[in-house]
Amino acid sequence: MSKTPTLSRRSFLTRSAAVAATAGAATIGGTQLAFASPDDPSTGDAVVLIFLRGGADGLSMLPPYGYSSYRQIRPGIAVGAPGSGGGALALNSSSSGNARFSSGLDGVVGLHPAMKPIHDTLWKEGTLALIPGVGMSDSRTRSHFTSQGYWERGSASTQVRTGFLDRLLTLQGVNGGLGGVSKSGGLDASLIGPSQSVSLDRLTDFRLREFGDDDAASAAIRALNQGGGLVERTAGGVFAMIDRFEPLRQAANNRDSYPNSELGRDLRDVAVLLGSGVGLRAVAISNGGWDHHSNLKDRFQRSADGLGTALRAFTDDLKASGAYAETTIVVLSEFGRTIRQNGSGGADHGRAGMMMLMGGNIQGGVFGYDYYDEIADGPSGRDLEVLTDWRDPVSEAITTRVGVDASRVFPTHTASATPLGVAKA
Amino acid sequence: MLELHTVGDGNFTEADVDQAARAFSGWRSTGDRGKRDLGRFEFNGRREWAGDITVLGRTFPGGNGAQRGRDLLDYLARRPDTARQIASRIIRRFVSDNPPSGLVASAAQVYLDNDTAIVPVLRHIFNSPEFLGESSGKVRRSFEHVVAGMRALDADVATDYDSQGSKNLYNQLSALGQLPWGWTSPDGYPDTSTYWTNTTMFMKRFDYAARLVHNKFAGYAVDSAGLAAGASTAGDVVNRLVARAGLSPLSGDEVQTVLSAGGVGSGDAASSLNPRQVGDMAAVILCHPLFQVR
Repeated sequence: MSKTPTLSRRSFLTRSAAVAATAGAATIGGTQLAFASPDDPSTGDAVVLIFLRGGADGLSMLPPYGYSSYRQIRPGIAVGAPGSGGGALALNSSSSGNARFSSGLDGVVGLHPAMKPIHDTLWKEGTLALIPGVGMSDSRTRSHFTSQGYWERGSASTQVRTGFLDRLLTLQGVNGGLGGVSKSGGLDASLIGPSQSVSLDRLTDFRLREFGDDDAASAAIRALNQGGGLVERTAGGVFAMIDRFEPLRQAANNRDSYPNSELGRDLRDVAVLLGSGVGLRAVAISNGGWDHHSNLKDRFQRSADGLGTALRAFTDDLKASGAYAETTIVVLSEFGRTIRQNGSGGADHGRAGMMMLMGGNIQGGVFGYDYYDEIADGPSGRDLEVLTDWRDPVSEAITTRVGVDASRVFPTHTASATPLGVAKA
Repeated sequence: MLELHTVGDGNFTEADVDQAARAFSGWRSTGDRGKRDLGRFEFNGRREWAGDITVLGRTFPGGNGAQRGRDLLDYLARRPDTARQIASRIIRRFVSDNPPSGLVASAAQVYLDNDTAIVPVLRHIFNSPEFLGESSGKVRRSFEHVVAGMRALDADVATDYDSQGSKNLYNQLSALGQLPWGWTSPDGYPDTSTYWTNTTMFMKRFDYAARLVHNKFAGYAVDSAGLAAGASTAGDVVNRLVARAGLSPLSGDEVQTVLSAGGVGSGDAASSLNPRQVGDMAAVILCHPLFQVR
């Protein structure tokens, strides 16, 4: 690199002019100082989105084991009946508290065995909603990238540029602070927009690694950022957050019930934040590794094991802190996979998949089962058709549990006239 | 193309989109993304829309092969709406989140007068009173912050493909939320201060600056002692670091604050400073509010 310092326009400036200018910038509405209004006044549910990246296979998560056609179409990868080795978990309509489950499907459809940790708790207590045949009604793309973009923006229209969680936050008046958190290195597309959501990849790492909190350098940075402009207030917020996070970092380090995985650590951090009153309203978590083109049976098992154990630890933790009653957890994926297995013991990019909702006021059950008719009758096409647009159950949860007008969160989607009934008032 | 790269939102209709798309029928690339082959441009005449098309009032006849798409691009490039959109975007990048209308109009005229050449437009903007005047306080985007830190510290960065330096550059741009081509919609990363100003991002910027100074990234080498070379006193070292970072001179109080980070006095001999002391002072300067803005 050049040894000559670049002449900067800022070297022409007087200090006072620049400070006045940055102070002026504050009036255009920037990030608020974190915790300027300390605790969250909102009473609606916090929304935790877990995006299964890669196209999770709906026919493995909610297998129609009772149809012989299912086993014939997928001879190597079909999930077996309950009781058999590696067989599905039964979802009988007599299970207490679960709704809208056709008794005609008793003994036909089950849940993947890796979900046993939450089948034992959430399903039995009636707070796990399972929705097969889910997709995006106005999209047929098989591109991971394009489809994830559509889902995260909540629209297939290029006119919609913000993320759906961003709009959900903006409609609640969130602008900065810790209202929206993306649990990854960057900001997930679902949170992009004016809500000023933040990315927080590891709660235990939210500090300046090079400097201790009491170092002279740390103190000097604080001292230089005392002004009232947008930049100084944001920088001040860094230190307010580091200070505020100190006990939370300890708390996170002390929770050992979570699996030692990326998802486990993400959910552990979210549980700590939800229990700490920092005003967290929406979280986006990415869980990769669901693109099972080959050896689907074993690889799906591993991915689902990771999901099931992490969700169990998370929901147990939320129940212990009381936050479960005010949390809606949404698990979805950008598409499902082809009905038939391919030559490599996997399945390829398809259309409809599945989604799951859970939370203290989510109505447990299986919602929508018509798509299994297509399996029972012998599938005519390559893909499962979309029976439920994912924005419908999410809209119900948003309207009922968050108290926000869902039509403004999903401006290009017309909600189904018949509610599924997944959320309790 | 119509919305983002030429005439802009509100200056075309859905019918124009439909017609413009037909101008590019038959265009394709021979590339194979799966093999990382970008390929070459190819025109397939059998896929060309044979009929005439009309975009923004101009008719482009069929039977002209790949030339029709190029003619359309030339036509769009010279539209006054395109001139205003391009001028606004350059001004938003270099001058202000809210481009001054007078400067947009004059820069757009320069663009049209020079038959769409960009260099004269840049020259016009960089010589304008709006650019040369006070900073608007526009906050740097992350890519600029990462590169500005390297420049300020005269970092020696390995940039070969697959080098540790390249991997760390990738990781830092990813952590700071501006991986090239990482934005999911076609409008590109936002170019406004508010988007780039949030607590987590600033925390990561501070962390990046401090770790860069102290050589915590494999593939980046910063010579702290070299940054102090030639200075006589610690105060002089600070002034040189401030100039290197492109900041206007700091006030006496601020210089004292920076010196306190190194635990040294203004008159201490520069030769008595160790790399940690120089580095801590450099890190503090990179966390100064003025280093965050253009």
